[in-house]
Amino acid sequence: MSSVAVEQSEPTAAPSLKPARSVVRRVLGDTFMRWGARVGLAWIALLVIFAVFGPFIASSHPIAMKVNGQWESPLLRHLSAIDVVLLVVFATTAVLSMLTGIEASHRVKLWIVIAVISSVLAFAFKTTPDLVVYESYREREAAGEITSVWRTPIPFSPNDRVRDRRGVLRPEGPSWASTIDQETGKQRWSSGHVLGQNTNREDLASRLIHASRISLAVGFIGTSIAITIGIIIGGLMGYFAGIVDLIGMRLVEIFEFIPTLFLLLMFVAFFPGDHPELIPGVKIQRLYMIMVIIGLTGWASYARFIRAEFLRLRHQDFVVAARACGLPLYSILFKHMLPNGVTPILVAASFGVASAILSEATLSFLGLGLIEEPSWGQALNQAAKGSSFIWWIALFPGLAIFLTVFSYNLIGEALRDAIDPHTQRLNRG
Amino acid sequence: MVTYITRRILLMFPTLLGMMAVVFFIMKAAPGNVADILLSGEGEMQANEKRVRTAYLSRRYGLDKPVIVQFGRWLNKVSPIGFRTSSEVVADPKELARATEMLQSADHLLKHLNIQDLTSTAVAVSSYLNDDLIRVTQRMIQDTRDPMDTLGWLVRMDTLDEDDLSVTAAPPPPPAPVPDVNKPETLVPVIKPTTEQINQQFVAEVKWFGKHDPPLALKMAIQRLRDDSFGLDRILFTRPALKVPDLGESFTKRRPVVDMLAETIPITLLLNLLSLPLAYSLALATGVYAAKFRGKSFDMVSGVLLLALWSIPVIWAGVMLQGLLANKDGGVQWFPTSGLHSLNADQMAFLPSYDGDGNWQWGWLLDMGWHLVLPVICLSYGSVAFVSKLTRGAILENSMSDFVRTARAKGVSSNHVLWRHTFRNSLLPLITVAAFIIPSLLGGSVIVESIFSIEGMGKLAIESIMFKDQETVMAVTLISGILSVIAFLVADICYALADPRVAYE
Repeated sequence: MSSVAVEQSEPTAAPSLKPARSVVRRVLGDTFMRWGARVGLAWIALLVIFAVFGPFIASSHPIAMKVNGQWESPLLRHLSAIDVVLLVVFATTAVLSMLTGIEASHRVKLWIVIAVISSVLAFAFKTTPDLVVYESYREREAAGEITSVWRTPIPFSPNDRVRDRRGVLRPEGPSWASTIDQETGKQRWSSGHVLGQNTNREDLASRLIHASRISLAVGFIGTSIAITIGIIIGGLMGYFAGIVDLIGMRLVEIFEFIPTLFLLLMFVAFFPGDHPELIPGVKIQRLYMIMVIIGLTGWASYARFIRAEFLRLRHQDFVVAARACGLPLYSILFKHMLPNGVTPILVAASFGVASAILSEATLSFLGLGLIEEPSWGQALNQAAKGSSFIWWIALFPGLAIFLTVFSYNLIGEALRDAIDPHTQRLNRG
Repeated sequence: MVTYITRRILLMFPTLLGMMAVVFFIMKAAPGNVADILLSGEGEMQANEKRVRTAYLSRRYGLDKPVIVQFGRWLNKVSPIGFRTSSEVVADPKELARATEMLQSADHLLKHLNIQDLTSTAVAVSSYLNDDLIRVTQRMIQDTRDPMDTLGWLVRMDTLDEDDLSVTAAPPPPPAPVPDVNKPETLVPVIKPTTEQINQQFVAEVKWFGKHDPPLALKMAIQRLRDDSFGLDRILFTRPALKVPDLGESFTKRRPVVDMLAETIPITLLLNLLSLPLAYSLALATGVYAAKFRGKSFDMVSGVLLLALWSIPVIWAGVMLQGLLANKDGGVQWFPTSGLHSLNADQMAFLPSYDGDGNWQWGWLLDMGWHLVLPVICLSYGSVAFVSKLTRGAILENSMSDFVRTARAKGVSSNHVLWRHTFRNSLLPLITVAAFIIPSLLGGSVIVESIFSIEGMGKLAIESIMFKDQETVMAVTLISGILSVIAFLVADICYALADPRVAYE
């Protein structure tokens, strides 16, 4: 399979002595030789670290504290099941990628098994206390009950609002009023917060760090769903051509002509609430619904790419041979044709992740996205809705969205150059 | 070529139909009753009344029918070729006169209504609810285009609530005006049955309320008249006709959707027609320049900068521009914060001029231009980056081709080669891209218009979606769909015209 793939992409190449690499591997290798892709990858790696270790970077729960001479860790106690799964999966990925001795396919299987087992275990057994009173740590510390404490670098949880109300609880501390400029009535920069506070007086840095998880998840999962649908529909269209193609193209056009944002807005507005019922009887979390919807509305362009590739491939010898051997349809489509026609999808996927992240941000910005969870778009919404312009609320969330989208676009651009030898020649001048 | 275009035009229809079906069925799959949303604007009401009004509204807008039937009716309504409905049957002047008379006497009866002869009033009103009246009323509504004028009594009836009725009935509570209402003969023949089931259910409802709340029963009977005149128009399959497409009436604003579109589309078109040429001219300039100096520092820097520009989210750009350049409190305010006109734009002269006192004034046109600067920047910067990258790619591709080498070999000057040979050929892919940009126009306008509070189609779209205003959502989708489909077709034709090598069989 891999030798066929190499021949496909480099028809003029003389037989080389190098061991055959799969197209995807070669393209990825070429891509990340470029500095643009490396910069993009670095930012996304940072986001992954934020997403996985978010609770350890920004949380009101101390990592460890000494109460009555005994050490305890409220942070570990308050870790949610998802936090635990992410940590386990991250560790597994890190370890498995270092174990070069095992064959790649075995590593993937092992990874899936561990991920599934850890999620089942975590969701079954990991419980968190229902009632969370962030203020209690600060009160107890002030009262001398907590003798020593080890906090996270940013000692605020994303939804810790009470901090500046401690004037009510403790007269000597700053009050809510101190965050408002007496003369102009505008919100003031509050020291002690790296990126300031939002209008609810929550720590902005903490919210942005926790929101990176949502952004990454929406980007990856939404795009994966879209690609899966696109590959199946586009593959069938390209393979069968004729009437299947004609009908399929109408379907593709339908989803291309309705502005994606419009369709997204409609889904989100018409299925409100924390747990909307997308299909009668099935209630899912809003975040998952947004992912599914981004997938359902964004598949058309992938289908178009795959169709074009498959139309080109369908009369090639290896496909005819596979058909003559009597291989089942899914094998011809996905094991023989797909690896040879997948490269344009890589570029589209990279831009697709960027646009999925933008979509989520836009929905949240318009007040239709996630309700409770922190999100970049929602933070930006506060800047737009507020009575006065507070620069840090507008600047930092927007910067986060911009940098992420820019990173994916840089990677997409590098991928495009790597895939198309023609552009390489042109760019060199 | 003609065959190709015909084929494309024919294929447009299934696409449009599919689009509308997707949007319609998503709306219908959503939980929550549209009637509830409509009623939510009318304040608190009792459970009984709410139930009755919900039933009334569902009947009026045909929401009680199966979804597929509703979709069919909508299609029939917007299609220029379709079937007439019972509300479009022509009435002659004699009939109109009779109807007016009947409406007036009903009005008279209702004005002097008191609870004692409530039942007789109910009977009197119901006796007018015959086929003729319904038909004629509908005709009158159509003729005047303002149902509120002709049917003033109906409106009054609508605002007449239980309190008014009980005041006339006070002090003694109504004895029991039930028996007559209860008799099926008085009500059943009155109601024009559409389907047997709906009818039976309605009769049951009226009976129940007749026992417990006679005024409400009367109100229902009258609402039924409204139902029949507004909502329950049946499609007459025997009368296919050419007609004016009807986009319906907005649920929330109670206005014809066409009027709302007529107000908003010019604004959105203005925004986009300003930003597209701006974006294209800037993009062509930078693209050509980058291609000319490929591999040089300008190319490198502009490549990265344009990619960055393309990555800036419109929501961020809008908020930052507004906050930095149109800051109401204390900051820089070079541009207005929102809207398309200043508050006093009505009193301005069209062009900049000196007024009577010799004071300089900007005038209406410049005022609008001033308001348009930030929105147009927000709409166009993304396309600049996108089209510029495309131009650069296309020019590089063409500069490798044989005809360029031939031109150079002949000794044609390099500028001449660039502009007369390469550039003109590179415009071809840009034609296709122009078509792809059209569907994204509405998407972009949605965000920009909502940030800058401009009453365009994008804002209309988002508002109608948020209020679940079915008719408006469908109309906006239809308009943007038709625009996109036509743009694709025109792009294909232009492509064939511009490039003689392209031949469509």
